[in-house]
Amino acid sequence: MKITGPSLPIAPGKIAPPIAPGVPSTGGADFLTTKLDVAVQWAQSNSLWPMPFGTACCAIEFMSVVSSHYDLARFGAEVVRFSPRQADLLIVAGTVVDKLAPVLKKIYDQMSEPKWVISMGVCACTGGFYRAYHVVQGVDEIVPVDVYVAGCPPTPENLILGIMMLQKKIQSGELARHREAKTFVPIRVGEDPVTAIPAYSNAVMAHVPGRHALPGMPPSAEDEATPGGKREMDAEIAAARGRENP
Amino acid sequence: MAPPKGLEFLPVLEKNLGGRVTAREGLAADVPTLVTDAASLHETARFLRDDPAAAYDLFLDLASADLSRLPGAQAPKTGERFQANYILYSTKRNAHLRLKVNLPEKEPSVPTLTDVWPAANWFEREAWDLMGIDFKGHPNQKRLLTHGGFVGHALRKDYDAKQRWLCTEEDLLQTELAAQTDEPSDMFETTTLNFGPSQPATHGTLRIVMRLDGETIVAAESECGYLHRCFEKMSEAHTYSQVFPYTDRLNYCSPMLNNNGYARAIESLLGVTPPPRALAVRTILGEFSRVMDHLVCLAANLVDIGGLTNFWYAYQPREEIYSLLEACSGARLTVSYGRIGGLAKDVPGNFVPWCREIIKGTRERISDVETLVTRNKIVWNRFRGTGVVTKEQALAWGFTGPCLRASGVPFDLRKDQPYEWYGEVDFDVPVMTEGDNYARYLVRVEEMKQSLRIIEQILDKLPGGPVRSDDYRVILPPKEMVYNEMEALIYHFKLVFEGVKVPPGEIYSATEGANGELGFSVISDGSGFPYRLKVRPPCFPLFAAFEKIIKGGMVSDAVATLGLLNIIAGELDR
Amino acid sequence: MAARVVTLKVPETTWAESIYLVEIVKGLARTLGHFLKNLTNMKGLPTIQYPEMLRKYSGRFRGRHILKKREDDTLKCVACYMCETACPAECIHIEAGEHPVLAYEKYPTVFEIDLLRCVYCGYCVDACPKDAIWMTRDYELSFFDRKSAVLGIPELTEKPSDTSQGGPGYGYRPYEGESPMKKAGQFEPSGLPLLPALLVRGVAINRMPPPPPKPPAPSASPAAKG
Repeated sequence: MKITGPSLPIAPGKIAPPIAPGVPSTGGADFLTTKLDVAVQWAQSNSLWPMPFGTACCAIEFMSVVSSHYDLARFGAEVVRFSPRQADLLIVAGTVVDKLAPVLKKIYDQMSEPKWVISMGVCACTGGFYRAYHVVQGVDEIVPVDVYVAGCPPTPENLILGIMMLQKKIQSGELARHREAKTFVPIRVGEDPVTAIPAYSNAVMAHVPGRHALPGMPPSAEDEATPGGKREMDAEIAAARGRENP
Repeated sequence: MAPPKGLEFLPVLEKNLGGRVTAREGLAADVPTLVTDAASLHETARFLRDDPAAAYDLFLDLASADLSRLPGAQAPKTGERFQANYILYSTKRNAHLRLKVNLPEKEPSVPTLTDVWPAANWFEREAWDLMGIDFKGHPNQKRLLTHGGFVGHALRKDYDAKQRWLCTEEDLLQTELAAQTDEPSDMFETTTLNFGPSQPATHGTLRIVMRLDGETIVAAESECGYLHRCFEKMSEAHTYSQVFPYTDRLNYCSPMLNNNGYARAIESLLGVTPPPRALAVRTILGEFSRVMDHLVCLAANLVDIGGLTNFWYAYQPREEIYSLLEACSGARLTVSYGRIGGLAKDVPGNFVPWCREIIKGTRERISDVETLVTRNKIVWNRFRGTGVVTKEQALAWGFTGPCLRASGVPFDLRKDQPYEWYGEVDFDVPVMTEGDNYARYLVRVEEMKQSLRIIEQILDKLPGGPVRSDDYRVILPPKEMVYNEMEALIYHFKLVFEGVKVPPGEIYSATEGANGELGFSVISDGSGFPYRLKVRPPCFPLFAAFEKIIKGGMVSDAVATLGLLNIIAGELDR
Repeated sequence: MAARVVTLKVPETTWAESIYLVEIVKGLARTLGHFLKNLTNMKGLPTIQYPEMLRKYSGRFRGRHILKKREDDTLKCVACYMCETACPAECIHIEAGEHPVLAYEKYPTVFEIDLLRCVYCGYCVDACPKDAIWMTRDYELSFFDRKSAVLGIPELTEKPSDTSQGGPGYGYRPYEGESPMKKAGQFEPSGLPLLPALLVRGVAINRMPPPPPKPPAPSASPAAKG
């Protein structure tokens, strides 16, 4: 049985080989800390609490994975939590459309660290065969993705393989996640169709045919909520507090 | 001159309206068509609804079209560009009707029909959103499927299919829209609850903004479009047979039924009949898909109200049906098994005994679920008397399918206008009069049992023969011929590169999907690409009426109602 | 053979059901029955314990694609672009080059499938006129990044892993059984060897359905034949 990806687990104390281009690995650190890291990572990977952000057909296959035929509970991921505050694995299952994009970003921001993202199904990975006016061409325009699970919809075994690959990635000690996308920058673009480009991220411009990145895109800020989104949330909280204590 | 078939009331209508309403000839397989103009639309609509000779009480669809790129004889008159096609149905006369209005290019507008048929509300919003037709007097003409930051009307022919627009949080529906309450509650504050779109109980990306007084819902507004995947625009860019994978993903819980409905529409437009074995297998797999859809509806809904065990019991037959579909077509869920003119491949050799085994297992699991649920007091308290929809309301709101039958109207296309093998089998159509959630539950359970009965009867007399038509202008020739013969290779080449050349015309074709009437309005221009393909989603009017059904009830009743209406977002938003 | 309308009645509430305890016992008996059945018959559990157990998919499963080769180890693909055109997701990218062997004419210098765009519909297999692309039963397609999901010719000619516990692991294919292709070169490019093929074609034409009837010509000249 073949699993694509490095062979793991990594012995503690050794420097882990890079998982994928650009993914740093932990260096050979203190023996005690490394042992603790290994234990923590083992615990994290075997008790992932998925949050299924299920939109379309892939959500039905996800429901099959948690059913009796495939039983995700065997991997410690039975506790399917629909609240992002209680989950650490966001499984984006199904097509994400432009209207849903701010919602996905908000949900991702509400999850606390450490958090991982599996993009399930080709619609979530690249937009699939919906090269259309309302479909996000891959959720890595919005959130950084750790594992891409291909299929339309992927067979439940494929999703389980994706979760196993993620487990190995966690156990390898990779903390700075492999990110291709930048933060979601809410720029309202002009109405001229030629210049009206979704300004999600530089990396993704290559996937939008015939379009080019907007000049002067801000660099990505790791683990920082979007400027507009965070400000809004703060403003909302302040307003609510103001209402309660006038 | 005798009026055309299906339009016997036409002389009276013509007398009232002079020359402003005319009948239009179309294909024999198509529904009868009346053409009118925007000025007399409202009067015509009132007549069609109220006159006992017409009695079109059910508003089914509004298929708008942009005719600017139609070639030759079909091209619109100068100055006219848009067209609004209203599809209506009369439950008393079992007759469909298409009411067509041609609209000018500059500022196309018609009066709204929401005061005649309340179901028209969301259909008109969608036509405004995607085609830009203005509906004068519409209570809430805002974008429905696309987001607030979207510019332009996507289904117009001059709109580039790949042009996207950024959506920020401000572009989503603002909560103060549900702030207007009918009667102000003077003692306590009302709160606003945003339900969805990322919510487990909504079974998909639906959003309802509710105004609550305690637990009672004072006002609600539902919003869709969170899965608008541009099916109709994609279908204009792909050939007729390339649209099959897209139709799979419409109602993804019962993919074979979508394939069947689409194939039937294109075959009617072409005048091609698939072989009897293909129709029988389509019916069998379609009924299995219907069982699958009802199982997932009940499973998910019972999870919502707390009966988690039923989820696993109900999923067991689904897995077995998945194995069957995978052995036939190659994929579990998105089968793409139908083709125009038949099926992709013939069924495997052990199809008949395998189906019988699956039927036996499914019956056992349905009985498991029934033992736990049907006589359960908690289920009675949750389902009985909640989410009540009366018969008049159901018809006014455009319901079809199990929800309409649970409210007392025995409309089922398999019975009223049989197609495929439904005319050859005996089955019961369950109807109830209460119109509450318990009625919808009972109707669905009974429909599942009847579907199994239909499958057994067809298995007993499954015909042999081919499953693909031998007309190679519509379906790919078999590989023995393609590899070795030049003419077959040429047919193959032309079908792949240019698609099935459907002669110019128009059709509305409907089949009974799992949720109700699944209709396809197709306009073809003679090329291999559909010119306009509009899907009439059965759950669209259901979700449009949802905000009215739950008003006055409690939040928990809203959850139970939403589950049993069975809203599938893939179909709702297309 | 007809459908009839049956009006269902809400069942009457009996006293036993009202107090609910009886129903609890009945329900628990049903679930307990399943539990004990599963406990005593662990082999009959429906759970497929991936990755230790593998599900046997059918010979029509639509998984990863594979490019077939002729006996002389060249790709059967002649870069005719039919699969690229038939693909609804536009996930296949081909660049053609001229093949030194005249009978083969062309070959793909680049053949890439983006597995993260592909919807696994099998249309490429249906569209290929040269029996050059099949699908396998490989469904283990998960990646850490998007670039590694674009498969080129070396990955696409890899034999399928044996995910089906027996059998070479091929899935969706254009025909069942033996290949109906009569000869590998098929159509000679030009010249005399075409003549026997023309005779064969005469037989083949008769097996095709007749073309649609042409409308009658207004005035038929004696030389023209319809």
